[in-house]
Amino acid sequence: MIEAIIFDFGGVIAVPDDEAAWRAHKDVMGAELGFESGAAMWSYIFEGQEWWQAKTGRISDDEFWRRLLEPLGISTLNARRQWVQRLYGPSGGVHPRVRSLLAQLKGRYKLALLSNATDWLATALGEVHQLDGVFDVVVVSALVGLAKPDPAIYELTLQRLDIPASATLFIDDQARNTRVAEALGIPSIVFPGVEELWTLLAQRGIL
Amino acid sequence: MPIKAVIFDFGGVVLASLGEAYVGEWARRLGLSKAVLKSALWGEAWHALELGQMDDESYRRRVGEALRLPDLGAVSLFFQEFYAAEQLYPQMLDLIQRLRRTGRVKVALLTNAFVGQDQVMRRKWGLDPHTMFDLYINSAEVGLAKPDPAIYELALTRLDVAPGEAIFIDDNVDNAHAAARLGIQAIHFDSAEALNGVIAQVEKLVGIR
Repeated sequence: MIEAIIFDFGGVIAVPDDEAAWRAHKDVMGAELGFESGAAMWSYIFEGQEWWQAKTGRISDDEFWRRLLEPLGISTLNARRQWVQRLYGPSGGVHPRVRSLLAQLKGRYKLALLSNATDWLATALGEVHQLDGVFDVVVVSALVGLAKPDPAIYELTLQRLDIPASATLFIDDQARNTRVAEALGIPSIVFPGVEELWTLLAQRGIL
Repeated sequence: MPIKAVIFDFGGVVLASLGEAYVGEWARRLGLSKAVLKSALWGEAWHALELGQMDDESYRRRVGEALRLPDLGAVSLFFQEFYAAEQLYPQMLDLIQRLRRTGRVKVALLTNAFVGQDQVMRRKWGLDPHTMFDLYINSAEVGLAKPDPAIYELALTRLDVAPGEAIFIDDNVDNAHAAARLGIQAIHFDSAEALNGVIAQVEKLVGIR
């Protein structure tokens, strides 16, 4: 009997509507900075030590982007913030169908957010994404100093929910994150797409 | 940046590698190619074992099938004989103890292994990784394995050090590269001849030489 649902943020709640357009947008922005593709830029951003330091709260969101973008010539704080806003523009928002899914689930299940993100997400959740009050538990990696797939961050989330692993459901777009969750006894779904998620939850009798 | 942590791999670093010639000799004895023996021991089944997704008995069953051994008893006997040749590098044990005594660095073991490796280490070598190291991370217990960046990040988080403050030593070149990509000072150590040089290098980086 599922009592709580744990959502990843990027790639599950904030998910681009048009995958091809999102890829093309990243390619364009990457090319401006001299990357051969959007994917190359993405790996520059998220596969270095800066991202680990940011997502575990060792450096702030502003410092993270400073370390990445200053060497590429974006040297003022304002210019960097604008650049990041433009980068996430076409995708960063909450997908409307996920927003209505959350509304459907609200009240029937405890809802948790478990995201690898910088400190920025904690404030953006309400101010930018209008998700205030939706989640009973919010675990942002940078604020707890731990990041998925560290088993400790899942345990922390369960503790805050005060619900046993087997009575929760975890949804994440990365198989590695769900695999570690499964090993801890948390039933998990690798995000299959927005409509597919609706169907899957209906099939499982959750919706 | 001062070094605050030294992270060791186990097999091939603290424990001497069995060596290609030894594995080749066993393959001949079993009437198999070396490739078949290696993939039986360290292929797909091992990968599932080291991620904690396969239990020990299933792994042994898979090895038995691949090596055409009659039953699990024969597999146990094979493992006993095959791994009997394993030897620790006393110089590495000494280095680990000396590093810990300085109180200047944390010392960690980051090993792709199976559930219960700590017990085997205790039984076979009289080593307790939980007390011998400040941090012991066994892939099968955390569901992540080298060279996945996530397991290095896990180690850094638990050690509470930045990548540039950590040294990592592994005999597997992919594992060393993955650590280096994160900014960790990676040392690829895969031959007994390099032992003294590697120890001197670590001592120098830590500043105890």
